[in-house]
Amino acid sequence: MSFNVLIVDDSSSMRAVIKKVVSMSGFEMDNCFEAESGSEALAVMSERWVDLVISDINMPHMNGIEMLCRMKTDDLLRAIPVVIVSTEGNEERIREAFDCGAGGFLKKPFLPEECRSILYKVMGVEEDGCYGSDDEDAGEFDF
Amino acid sequence: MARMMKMLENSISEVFEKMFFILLLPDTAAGSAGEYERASVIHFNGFESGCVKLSVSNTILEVMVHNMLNICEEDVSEEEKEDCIKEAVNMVCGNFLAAFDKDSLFELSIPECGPHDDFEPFGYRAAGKRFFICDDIRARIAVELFLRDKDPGIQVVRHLSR
Repeated sequence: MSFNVLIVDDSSSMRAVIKKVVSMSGFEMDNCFEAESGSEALAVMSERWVDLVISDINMPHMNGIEMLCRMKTDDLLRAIPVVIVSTEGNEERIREAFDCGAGGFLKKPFLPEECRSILYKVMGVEEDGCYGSDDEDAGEFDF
Repeated sequence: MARMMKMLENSISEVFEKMFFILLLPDTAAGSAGEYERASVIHFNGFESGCVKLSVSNTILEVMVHNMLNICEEDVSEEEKEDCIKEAVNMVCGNFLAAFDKDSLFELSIPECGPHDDFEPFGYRAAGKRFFICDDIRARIAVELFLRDKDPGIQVVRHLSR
């Protein structure tokens, strides 16, 4: 099973790092799309089939939280899982991301195994590649 | 203030080790001014407001990009260097603030990058400066913390010559 992944970050280096880490983690990617902002990501999602979004929060034009909120009001986009990758460590901001519909949270800097673990949880896939049971919590935070 | 600077030290060490595979050792010597060619600044606003400035040499910046993106140091572009130092200061500041007070909300600016001498934070007071050395590369890194005075009359102006 492979997935179309959209990586949203204003830093091209960070997009490259996330792409590399996702590939290294063994998570199977079919297509990998990139966007520099939330608004660009919404445009990509309107034209392409996307299975998973990995997004930063702090970006110019439209940040990751605004993008999440827009996705949740769109019937076609609301079911797409979103993993937030950010330097944000504030619990209120993380809670806001989850309240807006984020499926997981990954704090920068991160290790490949942390990334893999969250991606598999969010996609509901066991680490052996099989679909698992309905897992409750993705990400590291429990409120 | 010592506690804040310790947290900043821990943050920069963690970011450089995890993201750039560079082991930093604290250094008491500032090194010569010419050692720092590039700088990146990020501003934060919350119950404490200020900015973090990260200064590096081109040599270490090339190694950072090489290690982060796995590309040859000769092939590293200016855009990749800029992007890399901005991402570094973003992570250092984000991690520092999370350690400083995870319950308080801080707004982070989009990082700016330029020649080291072009950044002169104005309207801030210098809260501390730390130096690190990377033994493998024989290059230094400096990180500075500036805090905004809590006088509402002070205008914060960033000077960045373009």
